[in-house]
Amino acid sequence: MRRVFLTGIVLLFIAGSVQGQWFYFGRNKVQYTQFNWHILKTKHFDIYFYPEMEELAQIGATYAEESYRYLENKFNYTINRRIPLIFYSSHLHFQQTNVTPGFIPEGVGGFFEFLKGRVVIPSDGNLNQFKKVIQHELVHVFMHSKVYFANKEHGRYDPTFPPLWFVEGLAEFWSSEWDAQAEMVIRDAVLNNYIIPLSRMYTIAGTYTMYKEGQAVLMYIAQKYGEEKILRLMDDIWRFNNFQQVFKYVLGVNYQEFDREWLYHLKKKYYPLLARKDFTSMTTAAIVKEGFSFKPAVYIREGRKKLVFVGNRTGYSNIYMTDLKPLKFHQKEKVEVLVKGERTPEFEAFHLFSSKIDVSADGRLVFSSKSGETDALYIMDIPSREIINKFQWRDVVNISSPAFSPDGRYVVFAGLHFNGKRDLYLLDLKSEALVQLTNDVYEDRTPSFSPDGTKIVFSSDRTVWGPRWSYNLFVYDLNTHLMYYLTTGEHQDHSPVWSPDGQSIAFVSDRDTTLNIWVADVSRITRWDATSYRQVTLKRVSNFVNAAFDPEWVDNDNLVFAVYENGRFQIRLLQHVQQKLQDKNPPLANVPIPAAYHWKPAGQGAIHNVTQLKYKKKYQLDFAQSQVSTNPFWGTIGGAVFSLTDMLGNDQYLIYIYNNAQRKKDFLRSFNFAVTKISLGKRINYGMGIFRISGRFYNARDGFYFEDRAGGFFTANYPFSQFDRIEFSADFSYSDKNLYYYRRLAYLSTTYLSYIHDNSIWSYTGPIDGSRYNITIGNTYDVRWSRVNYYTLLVDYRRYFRLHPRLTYAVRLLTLWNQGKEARWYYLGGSWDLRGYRLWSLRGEKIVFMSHELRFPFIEYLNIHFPFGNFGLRAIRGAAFVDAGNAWTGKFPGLLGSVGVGIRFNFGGALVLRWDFGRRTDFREFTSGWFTQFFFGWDF
Amino acid sequence: MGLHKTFRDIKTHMMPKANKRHIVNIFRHFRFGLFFLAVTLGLHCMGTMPLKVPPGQMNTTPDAWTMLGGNPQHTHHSDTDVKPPLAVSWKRNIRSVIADHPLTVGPYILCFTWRGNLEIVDSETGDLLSVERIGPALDHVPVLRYPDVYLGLTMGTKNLKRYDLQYAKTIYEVKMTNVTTAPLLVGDRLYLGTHTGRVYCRQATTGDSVWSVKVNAPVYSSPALGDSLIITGTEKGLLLALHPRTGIVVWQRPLQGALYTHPVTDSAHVYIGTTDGVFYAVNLSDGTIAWQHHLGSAIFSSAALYRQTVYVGTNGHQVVAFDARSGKIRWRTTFNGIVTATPLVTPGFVYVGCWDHYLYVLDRATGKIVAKQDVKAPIKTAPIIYRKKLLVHAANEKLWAFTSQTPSRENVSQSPVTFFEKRRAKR
Repeated sequence: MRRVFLTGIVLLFIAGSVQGQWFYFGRNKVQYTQFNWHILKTKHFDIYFYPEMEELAQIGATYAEESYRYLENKFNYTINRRIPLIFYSSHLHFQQTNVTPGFIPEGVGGFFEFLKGRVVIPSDGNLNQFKKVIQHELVHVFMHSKVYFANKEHGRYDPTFPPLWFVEGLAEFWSSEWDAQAEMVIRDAVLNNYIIPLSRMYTIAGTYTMYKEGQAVLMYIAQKYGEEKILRLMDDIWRFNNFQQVFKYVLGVNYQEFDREWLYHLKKKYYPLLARKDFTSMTTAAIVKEGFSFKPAVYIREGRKKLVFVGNRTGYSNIYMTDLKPLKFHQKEKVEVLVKGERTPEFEAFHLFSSKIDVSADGRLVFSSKSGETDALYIMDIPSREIINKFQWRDVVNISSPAFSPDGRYVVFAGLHFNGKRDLYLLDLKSEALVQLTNDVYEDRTPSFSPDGTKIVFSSDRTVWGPRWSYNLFVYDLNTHLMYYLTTGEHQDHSPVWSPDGQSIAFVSDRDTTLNIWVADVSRITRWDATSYRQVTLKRVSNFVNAAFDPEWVDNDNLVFAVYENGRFQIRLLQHVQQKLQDKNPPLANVPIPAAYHWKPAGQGAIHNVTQLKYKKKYQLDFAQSQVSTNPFWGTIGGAVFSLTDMLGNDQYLIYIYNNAQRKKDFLRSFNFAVTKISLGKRINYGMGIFRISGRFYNARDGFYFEDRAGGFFTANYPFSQFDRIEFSADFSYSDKNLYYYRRLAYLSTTYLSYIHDNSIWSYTGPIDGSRYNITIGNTYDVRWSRVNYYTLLVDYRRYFRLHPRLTYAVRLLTLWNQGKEARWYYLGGSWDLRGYRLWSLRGEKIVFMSHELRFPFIEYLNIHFPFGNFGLRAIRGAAFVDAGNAWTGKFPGLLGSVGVGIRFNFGGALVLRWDFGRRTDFREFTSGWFTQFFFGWDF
Repeated sequence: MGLHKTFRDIKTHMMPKANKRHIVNIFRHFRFGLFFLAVTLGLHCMGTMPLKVPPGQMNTTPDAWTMLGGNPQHTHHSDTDVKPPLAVSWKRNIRSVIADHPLTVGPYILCFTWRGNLEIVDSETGDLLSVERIGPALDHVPVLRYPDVYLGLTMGTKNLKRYDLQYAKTIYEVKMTNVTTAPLLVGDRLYLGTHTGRVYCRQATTGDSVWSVKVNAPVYSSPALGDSLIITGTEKGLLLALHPRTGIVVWQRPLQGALYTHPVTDSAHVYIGTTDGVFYAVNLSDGTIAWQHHLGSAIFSSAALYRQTVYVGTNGHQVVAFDARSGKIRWRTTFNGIVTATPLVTPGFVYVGCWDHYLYVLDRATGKIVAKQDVKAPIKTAPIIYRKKLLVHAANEKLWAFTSQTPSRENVSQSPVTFFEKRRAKR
């Protein structure tokens, strides 16, 4: 019992500090890249960077200092310490950070952590985005500090902090302008009636919609009540115990009253748009409606048109193919999976928000996927469904939007270099030579070939309007290696594609505040030069109220495109484009380009008093926690845990002390400690330490006994990929075990070797797809007297079959095998494994266990209205199960089992309550009564 | 009773017979007195017993600070220089933030903190004499007319309070919403503004209402007296001149930005800065704008005025000096942090408390930094000079007293500067 308690404490404090690879299952955070860290010291910041990205770090330092000055003024506040900023040159590098133990999804653009006040930010090749994220995170730094001191200075030791919608909304509001993307989210939510009022914002906590709604709320407050009220919401936060009261005090209205006026304001703003514009669902034909679908590409084979796209319909992202035919209203979609993603090391992530795909005339699909340290460029032969080429370069970390040349020999793509710059690259598939077409700090993206293969059109912020976060289209001449403006002005022009006849270029633009499809007429240009853009005329061919993305020509008259409508991404078909180009509305012309042709980002020399140093590890205390408890049976137990890490979180020291003496004279005898060093900086993670665990223990075989065990241990793991790893652990200890009938001394050597796989994905109550397994072998023996000598085998296999997007069939097979002298016992029974049996009521040196479970949705949302308020539960899931297994020592006693059903509730995202009831069986007959079991824990 | 007996029994065994009865009798007769004395001493030691400020010590000097900015015009100047180099005379730990600046009376420095505490410090030695909780919280410095202090509190229900320093007791508490300005005391009238957007005039002796005016936005701009008018402003940027007897709005002037600073007046103008970074001089006679400057950053620092020059700090790390009549900028000095506390002006110097942890001493004529002193924490409280000591509070940390002469050996030994700080200074 006490050992369980002890183990629990150790696991608890390790859990806060290390990655999933230190646990039974879990995916791995792989340290693929060895970074040579340096520090840039500016006036207010310590900027951590690696030499390859020095230029970017200099630019980031300038942005950080500019943002600091801006926010000082906005917050009327100054930070009282130096701020550590940790820069990465790409998101793939950023995902390797050890500053946070958790996995970082693709959507996370940076974060601020509270232990050391560190800010961690990647670049994605876009300087404006880089600047925005720096400022966004610094808003968090300022807000956190200001609110903390506002509470402290007014003597509030139980401080009030603002809710997440305010925290993130303000970070958005004070770091960026209201752009087409924000407009897209809020406009869609208002027009489709799913806008969440402020009083229920907690229901979308942490979502992108919450970020943008928070920004919209604060924009409205600034506009209606004055921006100074935002400052007062922080200055006056100490007055009340919750933020709603602060809100009422500062603005004079409560959430409900505010909602009434804010929602009315939004409706007044957006409803009139429907008089002039249309939903895409009312004017275009759907090709793909289910799930989240992006990046369409057209594949024509033997006259049959197919659509290839990237989508997420089940939780995993895949590349799909379907017929390019308009769907009828209730028609069921038929899609085929071409490439399965996010399950294997080859296809870890398709970057579905950012990277287009393309299909050549001869049926080859080109796409990029994360594969290990960097992205890889894959070419698949669609007819045979085989990957025929894989290209990967160490310096090109991220590969985005590859596109074939018309003859299929070349592939152009936007690549993010190790130095953090996103440029255009041209790959010759024949010679496998890679040529870098552009090389500068500007971001170049979504390239596409002209039908004659001599030019590339792409989107870039190299435009003179770039500092205002504008993108224009450019044409790159492969013969002269010169590039020219295609579009001009302060707009977001993206995803250009040349029409098959070469007369037009379709693209999306926010020229009418939302992203619509436009066509540039280039038919009059015979030879491209610096003035060609003046001959280009632009015409909008869609008039959507919601946002369109990634148009792709089916032929000269039809376009497929992705669209955001009703909170989902679909793929639709826009027909009769030529007719739309001929309508009576006059086309637009490009605005003249001012004298300055490009913009220059501020960089080295823009800030003063900068010093550069090589990073040296300094350990600082992350947390110290102590606990004392008194129990009439166990007496008084006390302990403390300390954790020290370096700034980058690569090395951790964990110190644990604990005493469980029941008598004064037992103090030294019952003194427990463990000192562990964990190193996460390299691909092989390892930990080592020394320990002494001494005290009174209990197990079912020996009863109560006193054991004093001291020694050292070493553990290491090597992740092959995010999904697979091998683990090794060894410890050597002296064990003095006092049972009531004899004393056993031993020098124990224990060695384990494990192979662990996990590619499962989770829903509210547990895994719903994928598989995971753990195969462990080991042995323990007494090297001196051979008093202990046993081997261990563990096989735990779990597989989740997705019968339907919301229906999962889960299987678990487990065997644990100990054999030898003083072999450990295992335990079975309880809701965690063999349901219907008392917790750990079955025990022995060997275990076999099998579980089958059908997981299905039960109640989507349960809301109970009480006179004093509401109580709601989301996603109540049901399960039907059959379990079988037993534990034994010696002769196998036969299987025991249970059959039943259960429901699962998720409380607050972190706690799952399982309630099972059913009948026990020995597979000859069932027991007469029903059993009921409650348990807090995730499904297996 | 049982406890007394036990105690007596123990003593009986321990003492010689002759003394025993005598001591027991003393203890018996004076037990309540002794108990009360012990409790009183204990509370004094803990600093929770209010210090009564006896009238004999209240020889109010001309350099005493009894209200916001030192006078009803809030000019925040002193006629005494504390010449650099500065030496630390003493420092005293005072948590929280001292609202606006300390007040002074006799040998005492009265520190009213945001937490609602009054901490009384000996101006000569820096000894903490008393800590008393006088309200839940306050944003601004009260006004002192010995022996009374008039406090505007910013939390709770009874937010106007008259407190007698001599007897350490509350004379009255008036029910009103949160007071968000420093009270202005003119004659027997108190003027103050509230969060609910009203300006009040109340009788100082009784707290009774004389008049109140609704101004439709919270009032954070502490009223000042200018040309017999009460000048204040609203959060929405409306500068108001009110008739002191009737509360009638004599004139009003919308300004660009919110007003969180208090007006400063002379015979002709009102000087005030806004969160939009515009600094205004408004004619007292009719509310027209005499001159204005856009300083590029928000202004949360109220101005100081001395000999026809106005000094103001900005969130752009600057202090700017203007000619009060023409509005011409005389100098600008840049620091490493925002300046939100009012600068202190003396004949020779301008003392600026900055969020970069430094107290700067500027030459008044040129704005050149002649000295700076690290106080280890941001300065949110305006410096003052009292009895030849420059007093400045570093937020959540210490109240520092600087003198201009180099400290003698004797002074150093009395100073609470630690051994380690001396060693650091040596290095």
